[in-house]
Amino acid sequence: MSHHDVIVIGAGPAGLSASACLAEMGLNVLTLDEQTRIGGQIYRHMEAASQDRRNLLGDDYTDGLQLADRFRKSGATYKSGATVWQAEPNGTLCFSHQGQSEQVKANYVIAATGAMERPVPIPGWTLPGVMGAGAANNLFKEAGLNPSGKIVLAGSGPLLLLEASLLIKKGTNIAAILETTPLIPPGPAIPRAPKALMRADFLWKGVSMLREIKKASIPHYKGATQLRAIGENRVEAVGAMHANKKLHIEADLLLTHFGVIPNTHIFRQIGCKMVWKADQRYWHPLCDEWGHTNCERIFAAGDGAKVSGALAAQYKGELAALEVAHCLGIIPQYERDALAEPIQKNLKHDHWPRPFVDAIYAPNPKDMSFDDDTVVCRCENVTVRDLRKLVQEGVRELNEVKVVSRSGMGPCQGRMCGPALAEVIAAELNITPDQTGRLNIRPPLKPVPLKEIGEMSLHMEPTEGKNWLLDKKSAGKKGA
Amino acid sequence: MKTADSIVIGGGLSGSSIALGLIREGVGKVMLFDEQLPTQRLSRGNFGLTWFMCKGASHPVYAQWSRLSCQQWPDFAATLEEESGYNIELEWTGGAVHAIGEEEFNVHTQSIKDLKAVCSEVGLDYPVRMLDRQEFAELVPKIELGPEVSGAMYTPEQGHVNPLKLMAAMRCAFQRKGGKFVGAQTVSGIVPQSDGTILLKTNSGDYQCNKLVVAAGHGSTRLLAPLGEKLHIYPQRGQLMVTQRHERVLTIPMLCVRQTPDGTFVIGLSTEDTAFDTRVTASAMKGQASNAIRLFPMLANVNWVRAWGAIRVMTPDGAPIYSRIPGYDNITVVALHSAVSLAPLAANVVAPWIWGTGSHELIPKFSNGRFDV
Amino acid sequence: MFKTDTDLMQNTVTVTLDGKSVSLPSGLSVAAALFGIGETISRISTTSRKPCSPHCLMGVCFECLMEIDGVQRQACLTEVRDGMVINRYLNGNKGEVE
Repeated sequence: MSHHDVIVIGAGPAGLSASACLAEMGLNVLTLDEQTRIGGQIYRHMEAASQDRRNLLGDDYTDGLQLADRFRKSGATYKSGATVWQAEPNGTLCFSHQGQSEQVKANYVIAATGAMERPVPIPGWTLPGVMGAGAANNLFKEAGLNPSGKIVLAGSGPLLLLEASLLIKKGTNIAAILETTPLIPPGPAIPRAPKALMRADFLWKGVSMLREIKKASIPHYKGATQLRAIGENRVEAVGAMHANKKLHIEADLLLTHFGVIPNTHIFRQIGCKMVWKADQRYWHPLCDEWGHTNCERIFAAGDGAKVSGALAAQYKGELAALEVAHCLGIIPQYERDALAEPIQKNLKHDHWPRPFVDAIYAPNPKDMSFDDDTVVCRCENVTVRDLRKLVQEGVRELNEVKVVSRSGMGPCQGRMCGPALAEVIAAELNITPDQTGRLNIRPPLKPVPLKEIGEMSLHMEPTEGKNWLLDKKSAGKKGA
Repeated sequence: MKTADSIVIGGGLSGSSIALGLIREGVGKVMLFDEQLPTQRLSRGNFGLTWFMCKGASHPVYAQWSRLSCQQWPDFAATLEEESGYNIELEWTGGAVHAIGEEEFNVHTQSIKDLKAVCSEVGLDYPVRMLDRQEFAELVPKIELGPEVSGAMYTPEQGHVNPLKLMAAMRCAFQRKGGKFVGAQTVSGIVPQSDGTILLKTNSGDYQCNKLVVAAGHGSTRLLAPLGEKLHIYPQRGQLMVTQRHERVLTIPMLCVRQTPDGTFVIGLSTEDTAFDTRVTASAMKGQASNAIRLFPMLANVNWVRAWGAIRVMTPDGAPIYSRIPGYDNITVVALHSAVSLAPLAANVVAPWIWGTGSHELIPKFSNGRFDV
Repeated sequence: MFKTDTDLMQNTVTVTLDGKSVSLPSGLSVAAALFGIGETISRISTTSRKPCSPHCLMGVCFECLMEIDGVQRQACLTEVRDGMVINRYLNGNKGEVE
């Protein structure tokens, strides 16, 4: 079957709820996820997790199980390890699964491709032993692996502290926490505080996280700058400046986290209109309140549309599904609105603390002043110095930067270097990052062996290549 | 008001090579304007062949022009590398076009005969010969040929280069010699003045020059229309694919597959009438991938990593346009595809002709007016 | 860099890693499984010539690229399988494999 009512890309909270909602209505839903198990990042490996692990990770993790159950019962066709590598505004897409590629079509596509940790280059960030805090979290959820040796956490954002408190719960020794967040909250945070107070549960979580960290007597530095990973072939120490003093902390593992940004590649490859969120310094697809992008057949749901967390992703997935059902003529507008109302209420409630948290942890351009030697494009080994030289030679726009320096041409296709490229070029030209353009994203979204491409099955419109009248007649004759 | 002796509009392969040629001629103050739009940049879609083979079968002058340029390539590369400090990765390893099966083998053999005849008409040789499967295999010992490959046409007198580095190198050399490169520059109007100079209206103000070169690819059409000149170009899409890096096994560029010194394979190149649509299609990718695997089966397990479409500046006879605008002797338009192959001539011959310090008997054959019959 | 808290090697598969036969915990991605047996280096960068190690563990960074059953894949998105052949070319012998 190569034509579906809806194709949902991603099996995280948004993808799972969108798929379930539409499949429950009897629609032909194909859910494609490049991971081997459902759950996305936050609910990674939830179905296989032991009771001990579930207890340790708490409600924020086990909330996903209900969603998983609903998805499994809904009747959506699920393909795991399926990587979408090209998508078009008309709902056609190509994906690779079990060594074969095929082109399929859907009336609507809901891209719930989630978010990633914001990649912020620091000197030494390519050394083995430097990884994202989320990465360590993933290894625990997937394999029960725990960091060992001297561990340093550095960066900014609630997830950094969340990871710290989780490690403490597991009895892991943390050598230091280096927060780049300033000690005194920035101005914009203050007016947002009252709304945050409406969510006492959320604030309580934050406060108890901080208490755990304090109780464990971990050196916790706020307002750290000039973060760097030091070592020859692996990380050996972490350096920083704090209160005008130089810090040098021995480390076997440096876990960094600088916030979360949407994975935008698929939307850019399709050609969706993108919007720059200045306070959080990231691009996201332009959508309405249902997640409808400017491309009629393309919806965005979850953190991929805008970063708001797991519950919000689940709600947004459901809302996108309701609107798709409405667009397909399955439910009338008043029913869509009636079903949407409680979800929209939940979404609003979930959203209250976010502006406050976002403001406290807003990325500061000053944090992104880079040393000449820092590698920006990891794949092609392009440094800040190389980029600054290009600006001297007249290069102004990111795609020109790419063409001349090869930044963004390596396997990750600009996922890890895109944001920083914009920051470096913008700083040199004294403009804002969005004014430097965006790297053109082309297929394939992920590498595919040529053999698969050469042998792939292309989608044929049902009426293509056939004459229904003559075919019917000749079929009739054959039967006679 | 900013002034220059000469301004070139368009900082792609064509414009950069002309600008470099002008500054080498010592014409004085030269400026190179570049809009740097993310999409309409044909120079980013060049395959990188510095070839004469197969060119000009129905156009002897083009065959001649291509051959001449090819002969100048090695020296051009050496000088450019010295001037810019860039390694443009020219490999003068020849070139081949393979044949699948007996019929294609015969077609290629015939085409060699035809081009030899065309070239001898204009006093040129055509050093291409047909190799059978065995000879072809010996030419590419590190990579296995597909079972259906019957042979290839081959010449040792051409090569391939890194087109992106070439563009960067020319711009760098241009600036090192005192040329001024202005990026993110959009020209909105060309206004010839009564005193013979040319006024340019741009997003950064007015500029004045004595000689103007319009090398803005598809952007040239709208700039020339107010001067009464219809530029005879049309868009033709080409799509190409690039793979992951791989151990170096192929040093001779094929027409549709080559391996770069840094290990990636480049596969292409389609020809489609799609107007200005630079998207990449699954069917083109499928066709190119299966062709490449038919030629070199080892490519089956190599990952395709990126692709793009670029819009060629195509002319009705496929040959370049180097043309003075009627009524405006000091405005020249340069419009062509294969600007990599033709870069040496652009710098060494076309630029002096534009400035008036040199000429070549073939240039008048490439006027825009030749299409007005 | 990482230690386990459950008996990872309860269920294993046998793979060939860089030419040697090795037991890996089953049910995990190749990247996680390799971390589980203390193998933290995934490849040598073709551009910087330095050792790489998985960085994001979610399919974004491509540091975990390795040759798995003849094709270069992201180890964090590929589940281990009995009989799998994994080559990391840590001596750089294959030259330009990315």
